[in-house]
Amino acid sequence: MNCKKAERWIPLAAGNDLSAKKAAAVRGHLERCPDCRKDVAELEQALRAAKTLAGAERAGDWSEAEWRSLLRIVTAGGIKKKRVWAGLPLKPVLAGGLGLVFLAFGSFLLLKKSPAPPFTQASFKSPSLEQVQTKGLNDLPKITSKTIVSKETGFKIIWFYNKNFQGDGFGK
Amino acid sequence: MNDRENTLVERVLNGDLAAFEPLVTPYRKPLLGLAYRITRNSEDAKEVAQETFLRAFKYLKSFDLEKDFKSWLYQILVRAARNYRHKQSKYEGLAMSEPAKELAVATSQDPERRHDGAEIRSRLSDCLDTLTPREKEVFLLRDIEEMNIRESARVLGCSAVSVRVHLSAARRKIRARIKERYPELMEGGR
Repeated sequence: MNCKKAERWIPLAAGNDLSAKKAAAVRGHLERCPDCRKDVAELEQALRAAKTLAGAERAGDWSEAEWRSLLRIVTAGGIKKKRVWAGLPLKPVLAGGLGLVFLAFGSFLLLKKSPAPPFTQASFKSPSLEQVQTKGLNDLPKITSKTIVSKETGFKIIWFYNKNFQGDGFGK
Repeated sequence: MNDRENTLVERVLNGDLAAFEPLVTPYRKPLLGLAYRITRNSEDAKEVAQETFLRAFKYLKSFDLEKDFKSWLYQILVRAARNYRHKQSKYEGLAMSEPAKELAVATSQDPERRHDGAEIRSRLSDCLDTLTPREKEVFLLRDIEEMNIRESARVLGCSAVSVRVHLSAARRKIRARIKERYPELMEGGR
């Protein structure tokens, strides 16, 4: 071990915080290196000094009355016991139950709502040419339509779509 | 794991609130001491320690009886101190209120002793001021409270490697400060 490597471990060696293997390696280096030995000795002295200062410092304490009062405040709320239902914690059981109720209600609503009627030619009546001619497209009930006009002949094809987007058309 | 403490924890959880006092009383001074060393202010220390006891009681049912009650309390205290520091810096624009009059020396009527106490306090504060908050926590837990690396890591919620890294840096900084300003302490004085 050289000084550069030992330098990393020396602060930990000063407080006996190295594994046995590393500590042995550092000890081996210290036997050969007076500079690193001095480094460790200084760190040990500094640690001892800091501990002495901390030990001499009296952080104080609560008075007995203050301590009693503090304990009263701390324990005032009492211990809230976990409420159980059939051996299970109550809150998750309640949450799960409510979830199931909402799921059942949602499914019921979905099933109750009738599905869209199947498309048949009879169920869809596109406006007739007369209706278009007499009322105009704007006055007809709102139906999606697509108009294709031939530039050459002026022939017009109008496609009307039902809500299933199935179309019926006529030309004029 | 401590059987006496576990019994007391179970008694408190079963509604015997009086058992909380013998459970926490042994830690009353050590917790207040650590809170003081972190905050460097007696009033802040009292607030942090009080918050620690409040949280310990509130979350006692989440305490794992397989674990060490002391480490658990220290863990709460370190977090309470961090929150307190965060609040202080938010409202006052300071990391912590300035080192103030401490509890103990104020109780001493002997002026010489009071002076000694103030000097010790200011020296230690001066040394600790060179450290970052994390280095300070690591240094206090390992070198002053004499917890081992693993315990310190558990209390701080970090890895043992992280503790070692911060501890190395902290020890070097403390050494540099003592050597620079209080060389007489390095020669085995005081």
